[in-house]
Amino acid sequence: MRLTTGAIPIKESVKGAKKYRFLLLPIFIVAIIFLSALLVLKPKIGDILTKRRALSDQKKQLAELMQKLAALEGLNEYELAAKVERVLKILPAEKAFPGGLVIIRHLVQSMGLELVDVKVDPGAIFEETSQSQAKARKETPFLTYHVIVNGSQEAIKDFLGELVSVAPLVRIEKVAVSAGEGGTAEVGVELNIFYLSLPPTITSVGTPLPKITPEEDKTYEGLASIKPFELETHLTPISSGKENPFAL
Amino acid sequence: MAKGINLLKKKKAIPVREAQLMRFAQVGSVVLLVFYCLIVVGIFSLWLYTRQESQEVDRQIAVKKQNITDLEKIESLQILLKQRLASLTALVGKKTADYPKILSYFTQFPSNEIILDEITLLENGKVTLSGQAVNTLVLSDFLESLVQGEGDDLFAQIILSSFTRQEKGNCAFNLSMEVQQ
Repeated sequence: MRLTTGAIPIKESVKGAKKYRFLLLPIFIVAIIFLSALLVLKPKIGDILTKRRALSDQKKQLAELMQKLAALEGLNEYELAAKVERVLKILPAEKAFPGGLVIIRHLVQSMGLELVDVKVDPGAIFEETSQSQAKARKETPFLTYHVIVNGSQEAIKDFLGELVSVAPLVRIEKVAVSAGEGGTAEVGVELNIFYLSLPPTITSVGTPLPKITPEEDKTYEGLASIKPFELETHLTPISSGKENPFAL
Repeated sequence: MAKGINLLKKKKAIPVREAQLMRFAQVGSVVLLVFYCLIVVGIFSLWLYTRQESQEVDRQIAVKKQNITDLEKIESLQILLKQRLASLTALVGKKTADYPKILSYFTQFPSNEIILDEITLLENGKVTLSGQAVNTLVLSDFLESLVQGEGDDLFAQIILSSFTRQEKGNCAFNLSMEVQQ
């Protein structure tokens, strides 16, 4: 009696299986390769690609940092501090009030003129709104003074010339000269005294160091003609009654 | 004569093609495994190298950041200087009228012939002038000096806005001009 499985007899099927036994090892190897590639290699390759991309960004960042560091090391702190001190006198961080009044009064007195009227609207103490408005207009904020002085024409000309060469930076918007009494002239001057708040963030490691352009260097050299006004020496001291009587 | 009996079963001969196929499959699979192992080693080496390189770059970044932080004062001074100079460049670069020079020009005329009632000078170089001349001849000379003399170098455009002859023979006039930039 012969055992059969369906159409193929068992003996023959066992024989057939034995015939393909040599394929077991290659199939096992291929299966291992496939599984390990899927479970280990694929994530690893993905990880490498991500890391290489990140590394490229890191190298770029490192290059920028090195560039910034080299630029910083090339700067002279004392020279910079002197320049900053000078530009801060020309373009102060705060509104020139009452400093502007002191400057106008001093110039008027030194030119032998008569100060008829001064009008100024110092505006809000809190600067956020006006600063943002000026920023929106891309303009440097300023404080406008309306001044009326009386005197000789020569003195008025000198006064106008001196106004634009004094620090904080003054720009004359309008001059209206009219004939006064006894050969004198009365002049109404509308002038802007500029100021600029400090930047909101002074330093940031990640941002590149701003470079001073040749044009800005030229501007700095040109500022030599503007004489900083020493406010402290022209302010009249007001006694409070609490001064030390023994102080020399 | 005794004859030996071969009790071993006769081995069935494998066909040559089948034998070649077996050898190819076995050798090929081993070669494939070796090749795959090489690839795996390569990939792991690359991963390790990338990781180490990334760590090294990270370390260098941290060092540079620390160095930059140490120079924070210089950086803040530079930022401040840049901010101020950028604004000042825009302000100083803008041409403004030379007020003393313009006033000097108008005050040179004899005051008994030309009476300047009001001169208005604007920052954009626009000038308006109102005055009186003792007669039309004086006014004519005044206008001529404006157009042909020194005034020609000083002003780009001169417009006589109004002219009124008064009863006493005086002439009231208004002029508008633009200063040459």
